[in-house]
Amino acid sequence: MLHFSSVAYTYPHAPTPAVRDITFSLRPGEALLCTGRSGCGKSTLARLANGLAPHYLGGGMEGEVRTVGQNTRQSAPAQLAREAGTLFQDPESQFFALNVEDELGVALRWRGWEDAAVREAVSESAALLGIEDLLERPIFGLSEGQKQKTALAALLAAQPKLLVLDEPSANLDPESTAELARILLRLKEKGISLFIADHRLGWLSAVADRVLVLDAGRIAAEGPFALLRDAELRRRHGLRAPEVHDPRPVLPEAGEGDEAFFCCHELNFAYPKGKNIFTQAHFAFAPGRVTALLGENGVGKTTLARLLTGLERPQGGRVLAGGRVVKPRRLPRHAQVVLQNAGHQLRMHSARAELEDALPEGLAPGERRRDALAHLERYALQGLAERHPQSLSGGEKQRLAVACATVRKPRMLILDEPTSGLDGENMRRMADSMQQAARDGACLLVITHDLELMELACADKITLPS
Amino acid sequence: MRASLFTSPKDSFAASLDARVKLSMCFGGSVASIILSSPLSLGLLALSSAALALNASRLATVLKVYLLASLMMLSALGCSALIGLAVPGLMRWDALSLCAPFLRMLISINLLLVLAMSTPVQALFKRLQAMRLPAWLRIPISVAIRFVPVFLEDCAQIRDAVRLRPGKGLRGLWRGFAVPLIFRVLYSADDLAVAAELKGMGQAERTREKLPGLSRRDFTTLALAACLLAAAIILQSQGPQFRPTSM
Repeated sequence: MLHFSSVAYTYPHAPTPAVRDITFSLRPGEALLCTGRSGCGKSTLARLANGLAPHYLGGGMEGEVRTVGQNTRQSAPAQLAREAGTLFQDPESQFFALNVEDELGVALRWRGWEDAAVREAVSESAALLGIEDLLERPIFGLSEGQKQKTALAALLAAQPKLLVLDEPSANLDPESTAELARILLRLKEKGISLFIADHRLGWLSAVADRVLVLDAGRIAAEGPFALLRDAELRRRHGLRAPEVHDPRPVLPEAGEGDEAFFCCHELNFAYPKGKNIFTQAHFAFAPGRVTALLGENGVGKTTLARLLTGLERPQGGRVLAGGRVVKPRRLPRHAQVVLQNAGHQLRMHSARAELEDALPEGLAPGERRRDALAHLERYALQGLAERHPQSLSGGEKQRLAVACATVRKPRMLILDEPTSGLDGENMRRMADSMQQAARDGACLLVITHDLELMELACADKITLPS
Repeated sequence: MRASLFTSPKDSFAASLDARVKLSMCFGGSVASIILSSPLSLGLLALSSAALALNASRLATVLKVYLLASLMMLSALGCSALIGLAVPGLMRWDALSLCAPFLRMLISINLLLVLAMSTPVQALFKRLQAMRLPAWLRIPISVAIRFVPVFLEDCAQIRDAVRLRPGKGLRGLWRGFAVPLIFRVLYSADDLAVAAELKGMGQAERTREKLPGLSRRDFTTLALAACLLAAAIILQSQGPQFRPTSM
């Protein structure tokens, strides 16, 4: 189904190959997990498998990649996509229609399928993934799990023989991730081969037949899933844990103790023409603690973060910092949030300049530079100090955005999915710096589906009701 | 992310028209505003399109857009005046030559308002996909329409980021908006291009999806629009001729 033979690939303008000496094969109905540190070349292998590299991305390729029998050098990505579907980390980025039914059929229509055949394929794949009731829904109103299923259903409608999945669990909650694993098992039974590149390993223990561990673009280890139980190997290659315990049942609910610095009272909020998100709600956040904000998709986790930082105005109620009522427009002085798409928050010409710009006013230039460099080091970004922030990888941007928020020393810091797409080493580093910020006196609120992060960093939880 | 440019267009006559009718009116109106130059002809089209724009959207929205257009017009006049100061022989100020471009802009704005405020993006997207347009025309239009909600969402997130960490001075404000927006636009466009590539966009000659027919209301509106266009052409050729008057 997928065969790599002595493959090396160099991105345009890159001095060294992103991957080299890559040889492996994937049989029908087999699932291969590819993992490794951020930037180790996992996504590059996915792009080589679907032909985006080198056809779309350019660059230099050596060796041979055969995808469902076709030499990827000679077949265009669109041609390869008829047999091999690709699912990206952010499914929204691959949607082309605006409602679910159209999305499931759009690629088939562009490939010239007849109307009746499109309708049949769409209803079959919707039934396979159990999303028949979503067909009329607009794409952008779906939860992350529903988006992922829609993207998968759109691929399956074309009856592929191979699926290439690039970090498919990064934006999913644990329940949706478990459901995705069950779906993948069913696809394997149908004979579909799976190439899965992911940092999160625990959910794949029953799915993956073999594991490839990449390091600096080379295959560092290869074997059955049990290979990942070797702690020394995981440490050496910055991997996450192969088994993850769910800490949510044992995390205590955050109390309303006297020590709360940041709190909101009688909070009322509803989006225009939408349902009520909060009615007479109370929340309190104590300094020195990392609190996990939990709840199903759509219950208002991100909305609460926006209310606490003044990005939304409540229809009723008040937010207090240190016992004083703070107007929404003044809230950013006390509270900062790092949103999921960190790239929107980066604006300067280098990572160092980004941190210097984020520092509060009134510091001498030397002090500003010293503080910026210290924060770069804390988030392991010192080697990237002069790089343009927009040229960093997703995980690096995330760490830089968190560093910019913490450098302002807010009394309340909210992080929205800070470890999505981070490898084990950087996830642990993020957990450490969150705890450090809490020790420095901030109230830390983290919106996350990452069970490993919760276990490492969170002291209590707030669960928003469905 | 929002589902369409305007998720729930208000219940109006304009909203009940098929997207194809509104697209045709946009196209016809744009061509007419290029060809016609008589203030009477352009005025007739500007008035009738304004009536439809007011039916499609709130008065406040229309006024805001007009205000923005007026500012653009004034800044264009300001630039022209500067050129006139430098090279006096180059500029000729008269009411007629100022009136025609203003009316042309008004017609285009009105018709775009009708399309944007009364048509969910999904409907527009579907019609374009199913119309028998050549791939070289259909694909860029489809990509552009698909890009709009992504762009608006990016703008909203960047605005939030600037509110959280305000820029220092005008330069900081400009940097806070412009730099992330340029990069997001490039990344989003790249994502959409990859999605289009992998979905095989443009591979089949044309879509096989069948469109529902136009309603009687659609045909009546098209006929009325054609009559207005004919009246404007007659006014241009048979109506009073205006001479340029100095200002």
